Amino acid sequence: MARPLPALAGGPAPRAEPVSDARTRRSSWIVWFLLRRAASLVAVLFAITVLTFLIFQAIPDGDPALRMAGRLASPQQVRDIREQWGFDKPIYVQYAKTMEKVLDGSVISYTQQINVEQEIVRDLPPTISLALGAGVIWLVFGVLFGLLSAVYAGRFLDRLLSVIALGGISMPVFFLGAIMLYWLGYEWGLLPLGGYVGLTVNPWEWLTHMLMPWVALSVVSIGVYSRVLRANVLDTMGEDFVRTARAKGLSRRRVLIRHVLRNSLMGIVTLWGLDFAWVIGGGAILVESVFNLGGVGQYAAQSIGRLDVPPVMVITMLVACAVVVLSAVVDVVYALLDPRVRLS
Amino acid sequence: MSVLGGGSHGSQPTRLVGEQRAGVRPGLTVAERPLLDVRDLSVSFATTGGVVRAVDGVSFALQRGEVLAIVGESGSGKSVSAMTLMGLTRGPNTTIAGSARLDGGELIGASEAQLRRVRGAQLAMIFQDPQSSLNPVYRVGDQIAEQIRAHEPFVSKARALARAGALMERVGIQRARERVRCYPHELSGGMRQRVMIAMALSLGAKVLLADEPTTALDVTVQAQILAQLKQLREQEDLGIVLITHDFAIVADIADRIAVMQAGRIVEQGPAREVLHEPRHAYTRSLLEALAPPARRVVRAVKDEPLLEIEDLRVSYGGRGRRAVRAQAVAGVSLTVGAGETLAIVGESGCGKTTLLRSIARLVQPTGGAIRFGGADLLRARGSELAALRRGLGIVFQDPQSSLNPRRRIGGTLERALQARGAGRADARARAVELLERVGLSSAYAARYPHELSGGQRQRVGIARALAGEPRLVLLDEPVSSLDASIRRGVLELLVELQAQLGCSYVLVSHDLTTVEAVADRIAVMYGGEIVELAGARELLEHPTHPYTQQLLAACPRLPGGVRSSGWMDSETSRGTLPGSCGA
Repeated sequence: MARPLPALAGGPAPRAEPVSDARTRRSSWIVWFLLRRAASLVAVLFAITVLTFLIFQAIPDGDPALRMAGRLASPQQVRDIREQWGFDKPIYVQYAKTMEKVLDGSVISYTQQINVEQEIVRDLPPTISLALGAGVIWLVFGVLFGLLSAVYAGRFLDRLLSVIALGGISMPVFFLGAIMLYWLGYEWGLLPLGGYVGLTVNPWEWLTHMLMPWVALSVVSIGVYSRVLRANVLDTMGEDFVRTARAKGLSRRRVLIRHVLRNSLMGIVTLWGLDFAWVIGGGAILVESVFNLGGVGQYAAQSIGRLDVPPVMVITMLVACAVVVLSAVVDVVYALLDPRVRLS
Repeated sequence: MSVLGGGSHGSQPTRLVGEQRAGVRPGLTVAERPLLDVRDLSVSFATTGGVVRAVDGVSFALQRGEVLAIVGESGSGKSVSAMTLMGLTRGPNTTIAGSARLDGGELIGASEAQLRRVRGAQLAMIFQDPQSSLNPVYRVGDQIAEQIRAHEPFVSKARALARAGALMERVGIQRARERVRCYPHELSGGMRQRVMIAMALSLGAKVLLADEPTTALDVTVQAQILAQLKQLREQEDLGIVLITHDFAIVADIADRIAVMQAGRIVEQGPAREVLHEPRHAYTRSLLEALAPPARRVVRAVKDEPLLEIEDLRVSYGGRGRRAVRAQAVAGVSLTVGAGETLAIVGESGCGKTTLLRSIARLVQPTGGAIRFGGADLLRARGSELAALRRGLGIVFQDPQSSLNPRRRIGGTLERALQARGAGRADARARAVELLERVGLSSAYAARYPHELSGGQRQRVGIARALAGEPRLVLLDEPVSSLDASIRRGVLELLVELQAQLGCSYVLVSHDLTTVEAVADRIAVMYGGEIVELAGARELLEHPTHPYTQQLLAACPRLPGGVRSSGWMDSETSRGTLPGSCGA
């Protein structure tokens, strides 16, 4: 019965754990992880383009040839267009052709016959400007307000910030945008009334044009983020390691920033990555339209209205890319923030 | 000091701290000032339910190189006292009164800035759960270095890290200089607690407050950590306040013992006196509770096995070719007879819980067979599995987290009964029956789990396991999250229920003490295998495997002399058996 175990000979602590260098182990994980994510991106893109394509086939009255030919076209003209654009081919051939064009950058919109990719390249700068600026603003202020709320939990500042946050969350973007445009732009003339100026063209103009859209887009997120962070911080403050940190004789500020905030940021990181991807993919349609930025969202809205398949396909792919890439980034950041998380 | 009566007084006079100061302790001169001098410390918290007096006039003194153990049940205010000394209970809802002088400096009225200089540098604290007490996202070396630099800002980071490595080495961490770069989750529980101790020592603190420092650790690791504390006391002249609910672990480390009940110290004195001649009724009751119920008589076990396990294997780990699979259970075979209690003992990570979970079909084994009442448990599907499961009951370790906090006790039991096919009205009646069976009145049906004590909650856990009138009850560390003083009652209940219902038990525990009172046979697990399996008495008295011997040796025990003082039945004739450890 009593088989001797080799590990036992050494003494009472038989666990011999290898002390390998965690850093090299982690960096190789990251490479593997990114490769796997890249493979999954291809799969996601394939699935989402097929779906988008099929949806547009299924839309009643969606025949692109009829729409392109116009109301007074003869059947012959419609047939010609069909033949010319390949709409008479089986659906998988149409899909393959479209995708081929999408990938080599020569895809042309049905209704306007403009190169879609050039259009998107033109529309991306405003959208990226919007996403980056607003993303930074809502992250910084969301964290700041959330932290303040948590530190002063139950006191006046906390209540005040909760009211402001709730106000922000319930403020419709088009309403806030319109108000800002009226007062800041029209009545007081402090900021330009919409439109976009490239950063390389005139940095100051770029900034003044983007200021209102940033604020309009951030307000809701600041509200949400500050509430989430407040809850996370309060949870973390009750953790044993925070008690240890205080018992070590660290200053309040150091305990709060290094031990509490660092561990509270995890949830925020996920949220931020997905929200950012959403804006990049044209999710901020309302803000782009209200301030007439001419971004990807505005283009998407117009193309959908025209039942124009190629631009919608390309924008959908852009959204998918943004979501997949940013969630990979989020996972990497997560793993960097929390060494217990393994990338898999 | 003579023994004063049998303790028939309702209000026992406490052994006053003054006595000690006057030189009762041998070798102590009257003029010597105590290192830590706490007088009349009171802490109350304002809650929505009124003011709670957590600590009520506590006084004690600690000398250099002395270990003072504060013993009490959970909620007695012992942790709050220690945290208050550290200034960690301060807040708008806390009222603190009294005085606590550390080397002459007052702690209670000190400003936050003054306190911060004391914390970690002169007065250090270690906590119950080293896993949660270390920040998971920083390397352990950095966490120690952070403390050094917080008090000595001119020390460079590299220098502080080097000191951290040296400290870790000093508290017995092997390959400490490499492990400085480990994250807490990469270390074992014992090493984590050593890191905490290293941190506490990093600035040469004079007093260490150790709040249940070994409760979350395995028995053998506990023995090592206690030895480490003892060594520090001797080598560094460190004063240690050891807070615990468990008399057994203080017996050979404490110089003096203070017993706390409901915020007051009811008895205080030299360790030998408190252990041998307890004066206060409460101390006596705590010591009595530690004596396990009489070991069960060897019973004839029926021939027919209820549960048969053959070469069971369970592996964890990723899928795919490159994945490293860890074998949690590596070929275990055993049988459990009808009405028998089999205990499986081992330290964390030995596979005992995985084994138990495989029996409950909560884990899918990778190989082997389990037969329950003749039926193949691992292949059973659908209604057959449901029928087999009805014959199984499970009791989990932590009754607090295994009961739904938003459901009344009655509701929890009714649901368990309904899941086993009882009608609504029937379930209600039987829920009350179950409660009474585990020694709770029917009034408890209307309460929520948080309104119950730990012991009562575990009774509810047992009642729930009995809902299906099981033939086999799986007990996963049923008393290890309970105070030492209430374990006995729960164990006795289990024995009693078995006698009434005739069910079998498979009981998993890390603690041989728990097991000896209830087990017919004991299996010792190590590294996924059973290294020794024998009758309880035989195994405890004549352990053959070195690992079993090691486990027994690591069990903390009260000194032998205590046994003759009459607090324990001499009929049980345990003598100097190693099996009476922890008792």
